[in-house]
Amino acid sequence: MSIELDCRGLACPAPVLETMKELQKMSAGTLTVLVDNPAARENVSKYATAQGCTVQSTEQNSGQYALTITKGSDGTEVAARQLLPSLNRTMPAPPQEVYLLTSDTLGRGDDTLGGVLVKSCLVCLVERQPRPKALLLLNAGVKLAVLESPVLEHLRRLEQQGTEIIACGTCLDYYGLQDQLAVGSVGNMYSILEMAAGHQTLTL
Amino acid sequence: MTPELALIQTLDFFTPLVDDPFLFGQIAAANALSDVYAMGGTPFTAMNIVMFPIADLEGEVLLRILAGGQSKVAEAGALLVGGHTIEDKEPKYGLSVTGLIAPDQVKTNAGARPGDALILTKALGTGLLMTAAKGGLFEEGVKAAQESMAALNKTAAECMRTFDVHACTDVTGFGLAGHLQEMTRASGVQAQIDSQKLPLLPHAAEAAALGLVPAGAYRNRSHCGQLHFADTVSVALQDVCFDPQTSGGLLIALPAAQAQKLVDALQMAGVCQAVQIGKITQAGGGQIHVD
Repeated sequence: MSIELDCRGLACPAPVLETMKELQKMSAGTLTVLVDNPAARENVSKYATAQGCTVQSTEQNSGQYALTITKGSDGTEVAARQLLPSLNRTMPAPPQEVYLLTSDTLGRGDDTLGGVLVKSCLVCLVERQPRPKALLLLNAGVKLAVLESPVLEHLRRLEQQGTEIIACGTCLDYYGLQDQLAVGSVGNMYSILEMAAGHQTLTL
Repeated sequence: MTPELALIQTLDFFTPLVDDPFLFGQIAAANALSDVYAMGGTPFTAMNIVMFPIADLEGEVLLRILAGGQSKVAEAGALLVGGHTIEDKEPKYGLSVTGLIAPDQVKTNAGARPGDALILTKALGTGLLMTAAKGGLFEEGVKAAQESMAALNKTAAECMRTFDVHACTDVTGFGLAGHLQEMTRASGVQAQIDSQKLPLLPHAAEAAALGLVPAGAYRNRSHCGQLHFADTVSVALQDVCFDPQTSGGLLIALPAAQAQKLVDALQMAGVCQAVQIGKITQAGGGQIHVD
């Protein structure tokens, strides 16, 4: 079966779209597409080749081209379709940060202010993109993760969103809080250091 | 103007490439503002340039275009101080922009040096995806392209300031190939690009393989005489290199030792597509090798 498709005078990407429609209707056979510029000649050839067809291009009168496209069996089309997904590349994900908190307040000078600051910091971390990879809690920092903590809801939110919360076990024991961890998991110095060293870590 | 202050002046406008008037305004404005960022400057004031078929399109459409433009000027921290409108068969919109810069901070495309790394801050493929959009194809890629075009290069320009940038240009109508060739020629160097590192918008390479390649890409290909592709680089990826970009990212040349830190800083600041795509290899007449 042989069909002729006149795409002369059509603006890009109409020649490809018209060829697409015709090839989809055909089961097997020959389609001749007429175009009047080199860009259309290249584009229709690319499309047909990507569909597993063979393409032959002939220049007719000056600036006009006839593309003879032969659509074969289903085997060649499947091979072509498998090629295309490999061209689609996943974008690199932005790096995730790890935060090390060594106290239940932020900064020195006034502890009441420090408590306000740590809460405000955690609120911001909940919203920030990309999500923090982990929060590491050392010394009084473990107090942030226990039952009575005023920032527990923010830590739980972070954990729900995928941030790992690791509280130092030695510190929990020291403060007598080993049974009161309400979010995250117990880690030791080794696991905490491994997480910190393996990522971009900010100490607050 | 003074030893500490210089003015940058630029303008750009074009016809709609998306259906939504507000988005069109945003993209056209972001595109016009980009030149200021590429030079390392800060946009200061802007004026609207408008052509509009008031007899055929509702005034509301024009208001939406202008609102889109205004939103980007405001985001840039600049002031929209007026503009000019004339009647025309086809709508067109853009800005004339004045920017400020310290004279010793001006970045051109002419300072790239052998050993420099090349960083690109936005993914490629807007031309391909806008062509795909005309056929209603690759919706996800088209949406990503629209967001990318509407994004200002403001954050990228600000990150650049704390680094020792040798050359910078924005990637627009001549495609990555064309703008990189301008840089290598002006700088008297050669460059090498790793095609596997190129950031691609979703489905851009597929669109190229399917022949959804805009005519501008073929023009760019014929003008870039000094680009050489390794045999392993697919024709689709080659087409991406020549794909004319609208409101593309910044192409930055800086010492290789600072490259990773700049990429990290850009990504941390939200410029998630930023990546090192290659390097300046040696002195030369502008040749570019793509592997």
